[in-house]
Parts: sequence; structure tokens; C-alpha cells
Amino acid sequence: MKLLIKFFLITFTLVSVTKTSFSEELIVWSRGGWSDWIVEGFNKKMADEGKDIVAINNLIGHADFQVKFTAALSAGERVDVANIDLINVPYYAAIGALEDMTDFLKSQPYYDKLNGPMLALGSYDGAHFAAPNAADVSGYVYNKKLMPTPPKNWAEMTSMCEDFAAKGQLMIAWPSKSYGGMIFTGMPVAWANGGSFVSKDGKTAEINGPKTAEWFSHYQNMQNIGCVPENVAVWDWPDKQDAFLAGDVAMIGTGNFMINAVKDHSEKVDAAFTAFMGKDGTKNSAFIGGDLIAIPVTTGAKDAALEYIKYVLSEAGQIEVYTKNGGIPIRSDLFDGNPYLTDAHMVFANASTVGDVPYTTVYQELMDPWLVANQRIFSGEDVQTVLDEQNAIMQKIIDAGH
Amino acid sequence: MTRLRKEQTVGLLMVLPALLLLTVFFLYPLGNSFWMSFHKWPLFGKPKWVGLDNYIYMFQDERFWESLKFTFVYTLTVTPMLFIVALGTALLCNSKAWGTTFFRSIYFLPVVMSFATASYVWLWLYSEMYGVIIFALEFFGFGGEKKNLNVWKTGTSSMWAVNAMVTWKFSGIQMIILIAGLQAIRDDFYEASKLMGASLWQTIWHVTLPLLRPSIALALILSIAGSIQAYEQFVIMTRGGPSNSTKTLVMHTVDMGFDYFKLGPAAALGVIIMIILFVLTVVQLRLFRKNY
Repeated sequence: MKLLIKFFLITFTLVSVTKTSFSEELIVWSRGGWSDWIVEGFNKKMADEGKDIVAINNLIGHADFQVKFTAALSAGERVDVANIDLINVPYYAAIGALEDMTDFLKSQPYYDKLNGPMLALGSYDGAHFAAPNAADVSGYVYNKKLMPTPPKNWAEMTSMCEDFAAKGQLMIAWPSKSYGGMIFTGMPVAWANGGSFVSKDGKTAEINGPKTAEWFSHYQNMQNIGCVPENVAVWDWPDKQDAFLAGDVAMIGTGNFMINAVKDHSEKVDAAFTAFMGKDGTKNSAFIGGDLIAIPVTTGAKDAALEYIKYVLSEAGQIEVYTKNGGIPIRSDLFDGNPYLTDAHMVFANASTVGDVPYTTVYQELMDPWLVANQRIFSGEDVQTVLDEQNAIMQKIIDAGH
Repeated sequence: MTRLRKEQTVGLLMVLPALLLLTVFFLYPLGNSFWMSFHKWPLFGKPKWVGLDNYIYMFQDERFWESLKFTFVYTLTVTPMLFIVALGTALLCNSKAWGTTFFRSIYFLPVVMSFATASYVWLWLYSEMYGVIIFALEFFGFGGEKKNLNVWKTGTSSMWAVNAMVTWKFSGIQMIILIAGLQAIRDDFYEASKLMGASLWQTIWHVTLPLLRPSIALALILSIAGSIQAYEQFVIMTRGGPSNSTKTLVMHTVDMGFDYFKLGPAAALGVIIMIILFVLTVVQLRLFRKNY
């Protein structure tokens, strides 16, 4: 009997140990709360398929992600999957921090349906180091109670601005104090007008071009007319958002995340969305922000990481997890028939197909002159003089490299 | 083993933990910063010796000079503000009148709040839309007829707005230092001064302040060192704006190191800040030691 008990005990211990040892852990680093749903969905799928892969989400705040992730990479700490703010991906790809996933991505049937600018941002030297993951797309939100229909071009916008100013009301506000806010909601207006931030290869600063200057002048002109808050040069993102939600300002630049945020403000705000438009209104654009997903070179489970990325990009991940919770799919083939995409979401989804995002390995450093340009121009300085000066500083930063 | 030897061994063992901590958390990072400042230090791969290149890069960078200039202007303005308020409250709270303990606690209360929390609270108080301070200032005519006062509009007004918060936050700790100094002054000095017919102002100027010198030295050294290392208050309240006019040296260092990942130049900046602090502290100690 004793022998039998010993046998069972040993067998049980061995089975337990073996089970634990073969259960592969996948360490995922994320900066957005939605990643919990994706990880949950992935783990459920793995369990359903009988695969011993368990993803563990290391959710880090937006503000700390870059520093902590870089420190982890530098220290050789194991990270299997990283959801990185897309704007920083060119830098990580350039320093050799990410695994090449070109073959994997090209073998997927939806490869050519993946968001182009996001895919381009994850590329370096012709290879893919990151895949689109979650998109934050920008556009205008306007209050139908103050502005029944949105302007279709800049001339119409100026004319409406004059009407608002005549009534002593505010029409539009923007966050000049926030470099991220201005590149997210200001630069796309310049892009829709043919303007540029940096060249496609990221080697030339281009904010002083005539089309970008034209956008700055257009906004500065509205300031002079008087339909813009007088202190807009020092307004931050929450300032203009609060003003909009309080019904004090008729329209602001925002992102798809605003669709849920405006739901509880129905008393003063009847929100609708429209894309950023160029001078004549024939072209639209948007800033495509959000996350790219990548496998750091410090991974210990590359195959499991690819399995995870496959799930993130799948219909289950993109529709049932991501879009269901308010996101915009990063695959254009998932727009039609998507039950969770409302008309408001479709404004952003369509804008994501014509939007852009600057490619540069020194993005963070370029934000400094960019912010200065915005604050000086919206404080009333001469547009072209400021843009020429700040463009020269940007070029110096680009030339110095990372 | 002789008694002296025994005592020396015990003494050494007693300071060993502190020495270890000092080595691990101060001396090693300090040495490493020096070492890094002479290298191009990538996140991956081997560091490359570049001599003084990082220092030259920093000295040629306009952003360095702008942030250095602002840091000095901030230090020169906030230090007297803090000191005057602290001295005033210390003199008031040092009297033996009823309620002084209560007021000491009230003045000291902001010190226990975290710096970041205080910055956010004041940011809200300065809000163009909801700020109590702004409403009060507009009530007294600031901001013109349109009543659209915004303290963040210029670098100068932004700095004074932050200075007010820092004074509110830290004058309490300086007050305590000065009260300790005031209480160490013997009463007979005041009695002698009274017998000689000195006015209140003459007593403060010729008796209190000279005898308070060691406490003033400590308060000023702490204040200047803290101001040179200013970071949280400007990151939260001004973000260095408008147009980089309130960017401090430490903000520039953090940007360089953790946003731009230029670790060599960031280390060089750290060394420069340390040298500035060292020189300023030595100068202050010499100035205040002169007449002890």
C-alpha cells in the first residue's frame, strides 16, 4: 500500500512539474488598457486550442512606457511582445532592438489590407520590424447645437468664424501647449493641404513649406477674426476639450476615442465628426497614431510571440476585441460589415486610409522646435519667419541623428 | 589587540553599512556618470570613447544655454521670495503669543504634500476657466476688461506663477530651520538691545540676523541647491513653455537622456549640474563662514 501511495505521489508531482515546465509564458508589454482584453482573448483561444501558451500583460502607463521599455531592452530583460507608440518604432528599428517579421507579415492573406502608413512606420531598410496594432485616428468633432453643419473648406470655415465672432461666440480651439496635440490635430490639416512635416525618408525637415505655412496662416487668421479663445497659444489638450464639452467652443480637433467621451455630455453637446480638410476641401487627412506591435530582440519565445501577433491582427482580435471596445481596425478589409463601426467610427476609419504619420528616428527631439513653432505663431509672430527658424533647428537635429 | 585597535575595528564595522550604501547609490552612479560623459553610449553595443565631444556638443547647443540662463533666473528670483516669506513667518511664529503653534502647523502643512500634487493643485488654481486665483486677480483688474487672464502666456508670468507655488510649498521648512535658529539666540542679547534703546527693526538687523547666520546659510544652501535642480514644478505646470522659456537644466537633461536617448550628452549635463552645485555651495559656505 505504501509503495502504491509513493508511486501516485511521485507520478502526480512529475505530471505537475512537467505541465508547469511546458506551459510557455509570453511576456507582453503594453501601454493601453485595451491590451488586457486582447491578452484575455488570446489566452482563451490558446486554451480552446489546447496550446500551452499563456500571455501575461505588463501594463505600463503611457507616460512611462518609453523609458521603462528602453531600460528593459538595454538591460537585456526578456520582453516577448511590445505594443509601442508607433512614432517611436523607427528609432527602435534603427538601433536593432526589434526582430525582423517581414516573412511573417508578407505571408498573411491580409498583408495588403494593413494600414499603409502604420506598416511603413514599422519598416526600416526595406524590412518590417513591427505590425499595425491599434489605431488612434484624428479628425474634427463639432457640436451640432452650435454648428449644424461643419465647414467643407477653409473659405467656409473663415466665413463661419466671422459669423461666430460677430455673435461674440467661439468657434474653434486647439492645444498649442501640447506638441502631441498639435501634431495629432494640426499637422493633418496641413497634410490635407499638401503640406509636410518631414520628407518620406525622414531626412529633411519640411515644416517651412508654403502649404504648411498656409495652414498656420489660416488658423492665425481665425485668431485675428476673433472666433478662437484669446489664450489659445497656451492652451493644453484638456483646456480645449473642456471648453468643447462645456459647450463654449463649437469645434475642436480630436481622435476616435472622443466618440465614447462625448456620450455623457448630451445636454450641451450634440457631437458629430468630420475629417480634416485642405484649403479647397477636396482632400482629407488624419494623423494615424496608436500602437505598433513588435517582437524585441530580447524575446525568449519568438514563435509564441508570432502566434500572439497573428491573433491581434485576426478578425477575432480586430473586430470582437478591438473594434467592439471602440477602436478602429487596422485592416481595411474589416471596415465593411463590421457591426461595431458606427457612422462616427467610419469617419475615422475612412480618414485612416488617407492619413499619415511622420517617419523619423528622432521624433521626440523634433517635437521641441515643433512646439516652439506652434506657440510662437499662435502668439502672433510672423508665420514664415518662425517656420524658417524652427525648420533649421529641426534639420540640425535630423543631421545629428540618433 | 589593543583597546584602540579594537575601537577602530568596531567603528569601522559601524560605518560599513552606510559606506556600502553610499558606494552603491552615490559613488558608483557618480563615477559612472563621469565615465559615460566621455563616451558615445548606445543602448545596444559597446560604448565608444569620444573624449570631450559630449561637452563640446552641449556647449554648442543653444538649448543648453537657454535652460542654464532660465535656471539661474529662477534661482535668483525664487530664493529671496522663499527666504523673505520664511523669515517673516518665523519671526511671527517665534513669539510666545497665543496661537503660534497653530500657525506654525498651518504654515508647515504644504511641506508634507508631494511636490507633484502641489503643482497639480496650483495648476488648477491658475486655470483660465476654473481657477480661484485667476478669478481673484481678474476681480482686482488684472486681465483687462475682457477678463481673460492666463498666467502661462509669457515666460516671465509663468515663472512668477511657479515661484508663488514653490514659496507656498517650501517656506514652511525654511521657517522651521529659522525658528530653530531664532530659539538658539539667548534672551540677554535682546534685553541688552532693549536697554540700549534699539528699535524693533534695529534689533532684527543688528542682533537677530547676524546671530541667525548659520540657519540662514543652511536655508539658502538648501533653497539654491533645490532651485538649480528644479524639475517637477516646471514639467507639470509649464512643460517648459511658452516656447521653451521656462525649461530648466534638469528638464533639458531628462529630455536628452530619456526622450532623445542621447545618454553621453545627458551624462555630460549631469556632470555640469553637479559642478555648478558644488561651486555654489562652496561659495555660500565661505561667505557665511566669514564672520562666525
